Amino acid sequence: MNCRQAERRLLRSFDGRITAEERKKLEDHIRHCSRCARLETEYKTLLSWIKPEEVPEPLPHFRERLEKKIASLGRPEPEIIWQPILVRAATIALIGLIILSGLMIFLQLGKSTAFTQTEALIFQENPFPEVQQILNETQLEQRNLRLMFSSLEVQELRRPLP
Amino acid sequence: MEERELVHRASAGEAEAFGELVSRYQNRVFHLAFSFTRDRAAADDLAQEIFLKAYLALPGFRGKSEFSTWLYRLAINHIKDYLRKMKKKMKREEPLEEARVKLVPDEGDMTQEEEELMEKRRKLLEKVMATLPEKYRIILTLRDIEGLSYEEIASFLGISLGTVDSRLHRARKLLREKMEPYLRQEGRIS
Repeated sequence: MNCRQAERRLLRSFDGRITAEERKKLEDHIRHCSRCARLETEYKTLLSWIKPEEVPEPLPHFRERLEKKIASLGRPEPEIIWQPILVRAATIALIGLIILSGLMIFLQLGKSTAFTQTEALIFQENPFPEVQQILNETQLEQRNLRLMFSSLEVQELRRPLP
Repeated sequence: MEERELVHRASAGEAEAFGELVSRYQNRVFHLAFSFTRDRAAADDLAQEIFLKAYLALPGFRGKSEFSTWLYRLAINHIKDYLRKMKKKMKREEPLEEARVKLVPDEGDMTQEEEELMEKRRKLLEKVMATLPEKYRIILTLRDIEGLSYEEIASFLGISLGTVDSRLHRARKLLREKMEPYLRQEGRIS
């Protein structure tokens, strides 16, 4: 048994939490170890100091004084059985709502902000007069060329952010 | 009347039933408070506050534990708040170094001097205890002053028996280390 183990067992011995065999080993160790013998004396002294010499009684009329205070308070509200459950449910619902909103905002931000071709067509200024002009072109070659170039002129419109 | 019945009636707002519970537990709660304060008036105030709190909280008592366990837990939590307030107050007051006292009596009138010595020891120990971390101070008080069993402490503090053992070990060790200079001084006279 080393000194560290001896100190632990010594402290347990004050609470009667060591076996007879452990106690014998501890006593043997203390007999041959001046440091642990000193520790034993110090702990015993300390524990004798720590206990109050006498514990007084509460001040007179403890119950009566308390009853006066209680009377001034009135009856405590009986706690409704489902009240704590409701509070917990409301908290969980609120947390869920916050998480869901956060998730939606996150997904919305990750989404492309570019318009689709259909949206572009709708949001652009009315494209039909320009198309009509092309279709009115009498020369077939000219009309085909204009159709080809107009398809290349598709400009990307950005979706306005909220 | 059975305690369960008393608790049931008291939680329904019957003051007489609560008064009976107070009579049964006032000494235990007062002693617990006194173990921490070492002051009769302060302990009395604390005990009154604890019972008031218990009265207001009683409708929420579900009977999952014994009433005494519930009351003790409530008392310990209230005392913890008190200790925190006192710690803040103590920081503003005299530091421990200035509180060093002479523990070896001079030759002469030993009886009177011994009484003074005891008082000095008590005050010194109080000051040193107040410097310990809260969890150590509580466990030392419950075990070494109140004399509660490991099982009771574990139940009141909501910790395992192993934790009670290791925490108590550290607490006593720390207290001895802090008190070592005074204990050595004491050793010279024995």
